[in-house]
Amino acid sequence: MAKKLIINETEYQYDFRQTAEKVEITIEGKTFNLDKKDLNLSNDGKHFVLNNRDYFIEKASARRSSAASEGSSKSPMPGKILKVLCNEGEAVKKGDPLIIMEAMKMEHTLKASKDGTIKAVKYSEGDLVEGQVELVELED
Amino acid sequence: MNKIKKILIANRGEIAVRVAQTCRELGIKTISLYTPEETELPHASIGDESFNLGEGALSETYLNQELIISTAKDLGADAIHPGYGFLSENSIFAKAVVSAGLIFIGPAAASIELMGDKKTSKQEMEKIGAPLIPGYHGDEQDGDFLKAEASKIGYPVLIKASAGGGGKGMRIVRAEAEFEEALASAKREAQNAFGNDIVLIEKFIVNPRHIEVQVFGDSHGNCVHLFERECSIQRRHQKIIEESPSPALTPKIREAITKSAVDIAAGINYLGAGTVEFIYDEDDSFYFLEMNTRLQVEHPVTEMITGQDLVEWQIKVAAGEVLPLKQEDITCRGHAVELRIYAEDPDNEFLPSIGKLNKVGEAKLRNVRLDTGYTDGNDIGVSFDPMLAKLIGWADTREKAITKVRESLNDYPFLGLKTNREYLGRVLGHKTFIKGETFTHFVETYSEDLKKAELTLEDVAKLIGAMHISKNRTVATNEKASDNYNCWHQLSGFRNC
Repeated sequence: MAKKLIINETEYQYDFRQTAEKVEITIEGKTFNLDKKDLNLSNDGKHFVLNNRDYFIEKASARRSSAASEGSSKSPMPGKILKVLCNEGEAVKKGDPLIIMEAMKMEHTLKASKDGTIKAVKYSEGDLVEGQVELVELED
Repeated sequence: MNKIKKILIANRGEIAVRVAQTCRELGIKTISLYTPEETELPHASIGDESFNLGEGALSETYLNQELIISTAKDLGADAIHPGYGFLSENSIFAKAVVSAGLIFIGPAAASIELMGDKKTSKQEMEKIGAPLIPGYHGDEQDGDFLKAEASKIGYPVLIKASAGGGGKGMRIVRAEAEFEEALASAKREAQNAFGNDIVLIEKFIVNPRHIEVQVFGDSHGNCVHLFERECSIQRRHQKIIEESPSPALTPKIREAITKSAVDIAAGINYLGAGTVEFIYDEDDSFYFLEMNTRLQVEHPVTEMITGQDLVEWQIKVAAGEVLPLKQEDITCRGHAVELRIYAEDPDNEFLPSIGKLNKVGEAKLRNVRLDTGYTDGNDIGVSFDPMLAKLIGWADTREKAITKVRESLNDYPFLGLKTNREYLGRVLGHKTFIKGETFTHFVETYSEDLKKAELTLEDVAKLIGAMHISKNRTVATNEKASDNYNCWHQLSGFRNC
């Protein structure tokens, strides 16, 4: 029975078996037999440190919702809208600047994620916005 | 130091903790400040007394000059230490502290005022004979005029906010066609950050290093330096790795640059800790950039190579004492490197990250120091600077110091948050960094090399295995991901009772 996990944004399917001392994991047809004592990584249950690198592990089901938002342009973090550079109904090309916002006292330019038409601009200049909210709706 | 028996620390986070530490060692009482959302953070309770600033915008809390001064008076402080940032370089505050009959642990208000304005400071530096970079620092702010000045200087040029700092309101313009847009954007950012959109234009040096000199002055006419720091490794114009000594300087140039810094500080009768920043060009010429009239974030590397406590020096000279050491008695030993650990995602444009800090970690190697304002269980939000900690390591050679801090990154996992730890490790391991060829555009130049390495299937298997046997497992089971968080909330509530 295949299990699924997302490690640093990439989904992996695997089979898992364990004995008292060992775990056996099969991914993409390759099987790894690992000693449990070698797997004692620094972690808090979701954030794991391996060879001084950080990994964030999530359940596959937790990701579904964010996949639906492709094509939208979200605020990277809470901040203030400084300038709106696009209008509703306007055609834009991938990479065009859409909105300039200020967060952490720095400017961030939100760019079009694909070619398309601006369906809606949801905020105006001077508005305060939360992180991860949709600022502009973009359709093909 | 009998003039100073109690200090109010007008700051928060790691620098408040750092100042309190020295005060304790000197037998000086402290008052620490905090806001209601910070009660769990170490700085909130680090002082012998703690004062709650109340809720509200920064102007009502850490930037509330009247409240801070009246609190210092009410609680019987003799002096105020401003730390860095916040009110540390505010001449009006420095003046108000003195008028209230208290000691400001920092320079005279006039020095802050002079150096706080890039334009007037350059005019003064011209008089003193400091090396200056070609540029336009005048009052005329008309777009066409500035564009003509930029052409005169020759591209590439740098646009900088006159009142600025920390990379805000700063733009590099590589060609005339980009000038207008860059000017508008820099002015906008400057207006928002400093309430003033005056900019200056300078020649942009293609392969610059950022080298700064630590200076100290007392009220008896003495002025010394404590060698240089190289702070060339920066992202978004903010330092992330600092070291001392600089791998670029020969003894002869070290003598010239430190002498220039002392001349500048002595030329303005500087009192207390200051840093003279220079841009260092490949042809060994250097230009005065600015002077920071406060203790720097990266002061620990200087402390580690000189064996001195700079906060102690600050307090002593503020109390009117003579500098603890004469120039010839200040020596430099070995090499120190500081890493700034930020709550941010280096693989996504260094955007700040937030979350619950589940575990900081602890030092396991000798001569390693972690200056931090956080502890296990703290919430990391976006209200303040995303710097979590400074990891500093000392060894007898540069190579060993680099290895030491790189190894020590392992000992501080900062579990629960996306941080730049791994990214710092990639920089430290880069062959060009190891050779000492550090320039301020290092991270942009080598951005491809500094990208995250691909995960091997074996690594994936190890992680999956580790997750399945983890005592903290929240992902693999059916527990909700938020359970971990809830349990922390309950814990912190419990502690409050």
